[in-house]
Amino acid sequence: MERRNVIKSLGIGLLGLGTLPSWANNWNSDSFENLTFANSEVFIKIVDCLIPETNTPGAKSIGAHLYIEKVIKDCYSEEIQNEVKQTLEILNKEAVAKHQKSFEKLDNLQAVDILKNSTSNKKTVEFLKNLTIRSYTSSEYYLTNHKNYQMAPAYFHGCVEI
Amino acid sequence: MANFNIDSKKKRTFDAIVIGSGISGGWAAKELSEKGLKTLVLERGKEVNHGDYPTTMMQPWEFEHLGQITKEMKDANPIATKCYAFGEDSSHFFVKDAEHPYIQEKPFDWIRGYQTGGKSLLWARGTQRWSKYDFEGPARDGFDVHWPIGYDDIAPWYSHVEIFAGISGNKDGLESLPDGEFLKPHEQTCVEKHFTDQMRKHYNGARPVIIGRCAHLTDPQPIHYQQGRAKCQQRNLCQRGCPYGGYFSSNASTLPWAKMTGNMSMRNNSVVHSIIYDEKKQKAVGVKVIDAISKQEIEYFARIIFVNGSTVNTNIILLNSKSSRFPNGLGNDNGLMGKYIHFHNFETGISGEYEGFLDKKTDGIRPNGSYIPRFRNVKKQETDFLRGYASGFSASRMEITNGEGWGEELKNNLFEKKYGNWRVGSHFMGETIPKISNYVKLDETLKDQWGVPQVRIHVEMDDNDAKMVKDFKEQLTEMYTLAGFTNIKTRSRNSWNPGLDIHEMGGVIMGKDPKTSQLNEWNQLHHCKNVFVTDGACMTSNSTQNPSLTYMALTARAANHAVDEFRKGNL
Ligand SMILES: Cc1cc2nc3c(=O)[nH]c(=O)nc-3n(C[C@H](O)[C@H](O)[C@H](O)COP(=O)(O)OP(=O)(O)OC[C@H]3O[C@@H](n4cnc5c(N)ncnc54)[C@H](O)[C@@H]3O)c2cc1C
Ligand code: SF4
Repeated sequence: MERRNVIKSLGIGLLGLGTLPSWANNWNSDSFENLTFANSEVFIKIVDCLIPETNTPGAKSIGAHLYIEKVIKDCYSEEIQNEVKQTLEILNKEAVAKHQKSFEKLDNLQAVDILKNSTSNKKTVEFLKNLTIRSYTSSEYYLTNHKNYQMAPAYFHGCVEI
Repeated sequence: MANFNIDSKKKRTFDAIVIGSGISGGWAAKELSEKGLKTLVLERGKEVNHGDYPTTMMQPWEFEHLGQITKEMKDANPIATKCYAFGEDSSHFFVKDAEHPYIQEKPFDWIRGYQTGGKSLLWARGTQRWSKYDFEGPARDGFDVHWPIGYDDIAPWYSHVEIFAGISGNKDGLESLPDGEFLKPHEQTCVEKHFTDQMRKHYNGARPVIIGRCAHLTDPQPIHYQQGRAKCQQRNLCQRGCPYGGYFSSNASTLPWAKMTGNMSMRNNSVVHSIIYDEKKQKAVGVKVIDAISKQEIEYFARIIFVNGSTVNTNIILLNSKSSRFPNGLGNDNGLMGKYIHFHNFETGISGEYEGFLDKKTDGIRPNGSYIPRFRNVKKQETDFLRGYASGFSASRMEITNGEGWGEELKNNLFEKKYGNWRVGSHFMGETIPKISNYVKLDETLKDQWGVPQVRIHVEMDDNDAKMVKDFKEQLTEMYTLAGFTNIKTRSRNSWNPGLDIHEMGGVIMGKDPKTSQLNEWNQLHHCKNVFVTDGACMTSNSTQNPSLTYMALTARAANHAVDEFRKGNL
């Protein structure tokens, strides 16, 4: 009965689209005193190119970039933080070499192309992708519109037709 | 001045004192105050009134780290963060490692909750009765100390606490796991039912698989509404505290009830340092408390004292209660207090998949799972190890998150609705043998910030535990295979240490003979009858059930005996 599994299931409810989580509204640059990442704009481009805005909200409008920056800084080791930093630098270098602009200035297709084919650490790119997916699939938009998420369903049926 | 002192002492004098407000202390407080005794509950932790649950209504996306623990928290708390329930939503109810140090002579993961309600806010709410075979086990298998009571002595008290706490379950009619006073059971999933049926067929009824019995109000009765509790809304976020009182906690149930009698007072931030023994009266007369914040010392007095600090703390308090009559700790004439610490072995588990029922899924949330009562050595010895194990069993089906692809393709994949196979799993709960070599004792020099000696913990697993783990792996693999499960994997949790079961017991055990035990059949210290110990410290053996229901029943039983003796003038 792990909570995380439960979050991945069920419920119904319709709330606002693509709003930022409340903690992200409170977010301000003060909480980044020891900012590990020189260029956090890169995170916006990464999440935006991975899960773009279409006729539905993408990762950027649910605030995945804020989550990623925060979780890497607060929850992961210096080693992983450094790997992320290096990866961001490499992505940027590759962007400049190929398109003569920094990574965050690329359009989404160019950015995805760099991510997919980057010579940087594949594991780190995969890690950033997983964090983006995690943030997106935990968002209010996704859970309430696509997962029938309900905090307190007040019932359980052990065997229903799909 | 003299009058002032007498007055002040009078204000600090009660009929009964209960040390600790957790699962067992809450029950002592309820029974004693309900029967008319002026009762003081002393709780070392902060005040948490029912409803003071800061995270309880938070949505998953409202957690800054989506539930993940920060590195700072992890590094500062290598032990507490090992508990599966320790998360971004519940960390405020756990004791942090640095604040309450102890010495591990052998690795011991001591998980604690210091606040009103203790660990009753955090527990997983599994509640099964012991059977007569469990109480008779130590005598049958030649353990050092045998139970002074049997199933018949405790059965009415199981009923008493079940009715009030609210236990959901099915009447399964099993000798090895007696039925209780149940509220409506939760439902098994398709694959859990399939497993139950397969096991019945293959083992001729010798290996029943049932829905778990748990402390949730599936069908609240008037007695629960009177406590101010309501039906469980099936959120499974219980470790945050439940705003509806849907599961049993001291905070939602026993403590408000005790308060309603008008006979209970509670003092938080009150670290009980020791129990005061009066050499002339030849009994305990009160307790010495250190205020957790001001560090000031203050004494409280009563004719009855219940020690419910949870196993290790109860051992510490009693060992630290030294007098010229009891130089080695209150009641400790035989020198065995602190020894025979035992636990449940949770070191292994098994998982698998089931490829059937692919057109079915579950719907809603169930704060419970299925349960496999112990089937080894129940009525007679059958294996090369002593005693046996119980196991959880749950089968569920999740939507798969398809994270393939990039850009719009990835986005579309994330919106796909697809289910994987059913996933099945069991955790292991093995009985361990209480041994004199597993102990807690007080350090001779190191103290905590309240001047209480730090505890040294020395608890090890043994060969019997290893053999039992091996048997679990073999038997559960066989059972999973017979049920048609695939991808079966057993696991060993190498980082698991005793203590992480959070079922630590013993040290102040019940027994018939004062030479080998500390407590009599009513949980009174053999040598100081007005002191009662009814938390895990009193347990003579541990069997395989989650222990708290038995602590509750023993507490209610002992408290009612205490009231009778008090009225007769015997205490
Ligand atoms: C995550 C988790 C899951 C669990 N799952 C289950 C389960 O499914 N089923 C089950 O039966 N059990 C379960 N348990 C165990 C259960 O919580 C304990 O068995 C139960 O809480 C013990 O009750 P207690 O009264 O002895 O101690 P506690 O509930 O821990 O209460 C002890 C209280 O005493 C106070 N105290 C300690 N020392 C002093 C002192 N010197 N002075 C004053 N006060 C003091 C503490 O602050 C605390 O409030 C689980 C525990 C956890 C943490
Ligand atoms: S599952 Fe029930 S008891 Fe647990 S938090 Fe939810 S409503 Fe409360």
